[in-house]
Amino acid sequence: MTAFEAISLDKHYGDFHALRDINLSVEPGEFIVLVGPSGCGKSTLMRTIAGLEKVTSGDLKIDGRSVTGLLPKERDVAMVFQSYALYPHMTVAENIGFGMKIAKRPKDEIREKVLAAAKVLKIDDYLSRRPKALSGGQRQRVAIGRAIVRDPKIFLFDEPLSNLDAALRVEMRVELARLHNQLDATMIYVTHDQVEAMTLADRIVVMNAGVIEQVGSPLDLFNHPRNKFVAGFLGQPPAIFMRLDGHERTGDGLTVQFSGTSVDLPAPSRQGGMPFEIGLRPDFFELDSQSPSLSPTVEVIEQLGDTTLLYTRLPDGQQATVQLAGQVKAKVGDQVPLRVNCKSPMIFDDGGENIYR
Amino acid sequence: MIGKRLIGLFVAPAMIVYLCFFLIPTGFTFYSSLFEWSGFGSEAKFIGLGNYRRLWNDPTFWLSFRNTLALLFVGGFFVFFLAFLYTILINSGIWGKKLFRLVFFLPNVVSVVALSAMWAYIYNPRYGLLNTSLKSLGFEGAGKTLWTSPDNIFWAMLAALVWVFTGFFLILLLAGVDKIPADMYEAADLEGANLWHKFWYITVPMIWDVMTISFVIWIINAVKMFEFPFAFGFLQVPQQLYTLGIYLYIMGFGQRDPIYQLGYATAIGVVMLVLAFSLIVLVRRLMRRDQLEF
Repeated sequence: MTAFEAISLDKHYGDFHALRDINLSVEPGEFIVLVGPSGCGKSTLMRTIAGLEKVTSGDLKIDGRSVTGLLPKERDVAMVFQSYALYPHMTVAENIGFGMKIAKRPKDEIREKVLAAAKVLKIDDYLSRRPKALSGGQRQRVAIGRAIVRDPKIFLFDEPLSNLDAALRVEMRVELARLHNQLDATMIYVTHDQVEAMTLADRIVVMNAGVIEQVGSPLDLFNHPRNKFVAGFLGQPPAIFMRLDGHERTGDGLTVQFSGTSVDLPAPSRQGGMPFEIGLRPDFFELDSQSPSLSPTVEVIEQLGDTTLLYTRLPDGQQATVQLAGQVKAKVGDQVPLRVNCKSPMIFDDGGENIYR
Repeated sequence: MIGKRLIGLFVAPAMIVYLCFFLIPTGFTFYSSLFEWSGFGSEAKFIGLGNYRRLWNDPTFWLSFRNTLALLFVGGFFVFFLAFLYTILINSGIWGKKLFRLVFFLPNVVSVVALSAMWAYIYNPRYGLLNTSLKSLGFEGAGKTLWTSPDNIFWAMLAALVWVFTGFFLILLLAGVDKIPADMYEAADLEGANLWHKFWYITVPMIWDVMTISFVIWIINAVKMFEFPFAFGFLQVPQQLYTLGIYLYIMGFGQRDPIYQLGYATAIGVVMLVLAFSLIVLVRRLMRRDQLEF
């Protein structure tokens, strides 16, 4: 049985079509990340799962049971809000135990469960504090604790790390991955941060303008994006796209020309339309001083220690982001000799679809 | 760093105004309450606590005092009961939030005299809206009630007063509720909270400071309540409607027979001041709590 299923889900806000024909099924124990630019509908989708927004049409199922018409509390889901939504007048323990308190559970049971959840999250020393006496990371844990004690069928996370500073975000990311393994629970997680998506997800759902663009494992989406949007969204720094000057289908492959160079590629996985653009990730470029096929001019250099990022411009005016291993000595204005090695080719047809998916 | 002298210079105008128009008159009130004095001429006669002794034995004063307390507590109970009830209802996500807010507040922008006239019409025993409505609903007996008879007039006035003031405190409470982040309620929805849970465990604690100030404003208003019951009684205010404020006015400025008694009136004023002051201190003490940070 699937843990969660969305069937032909539509959501309108007046004239605005926030979700269009969303179909998604989630297996028990899966960590699903909904990712996309702001306004893409990912938060709306999460809120419809929680029952905080009504759907215009379509059906939602949790554990095989239709929940479309049910109230939030009847759906057996727990949500961690972006703002944490902790009650400032309650202690940590009261915040975590709030749901059980209004359900009139015995006090001993509440205390026991709150303590157990707090231990998992390592906040058992702060149970009598108020939220304002906690750091951002600790508040985050309290919000998660509130979800854990309810032992829900699905955990929903709405951009839970976006209020934390960079270092803490990385730490909490690892913590969340660990928690997911420990609880073995179904989790649906919304973020606009593609690094969080790549690192946490069993499967990523890339959304854009109310539509699901592609669903798949992080590496599957990274290596075989269905279209230009997914290719450009995943990967940091993002992939660049160059217009093809020509292409030739050979017996066992495809040769494409762009920006004065040509690259031989294996045979496309599907027919698709007319090849139109090539997608190049920064690490598709390699240094080659013997027989360079491209020599763009360096405009900006970023030394990251283990890698070097070069923001360059080709003779025909197109820009290319180049990521080279190690510490490359280069100056602004230098021409760097490069060759292209398409580790996982991305050629987009005139409709923006990848013919190598 | 601004020098202490400079601070003094900037604060001085406000302090002078405060001193001249508040502190000195207040002090003078205490002082004049110790005299038998008409308020005119210089024939003030020092009688010590004589005015207070007279108050103690004055049945009209005690009637006014009881009325003021009834207004304060019974009226206050209904004003806040209704204001909270409407707050819950208006915030439950019903349609027309702004419309209801406007409708409930509207009595506050109309002149008190006009409101009193309207209620006089409503309470009119023969043609009034209330009795004709009751009769048309079949309550013949209740429809014959003389709402403005001496037995009923105070409570009839109080009901109208509650109707006027509820809107004002509703606006205050709603403004407090509006600053509570929506996701607090959403989180509670997911936890299974009903309307009452959300009101009691989230709204009340999170508008605590607004409630405190609302109670204080109500106390101040109720203790000095004058214009509404006064206008309700038209030209000859029956004693059943006397509040401390009205009695003060009658004794100090309103009754020429035997003569204006300003010294006696200021003694009533002192009682009002002490009553308001001690209730405010009590409320603030009972409701004292840490500042919340959202």
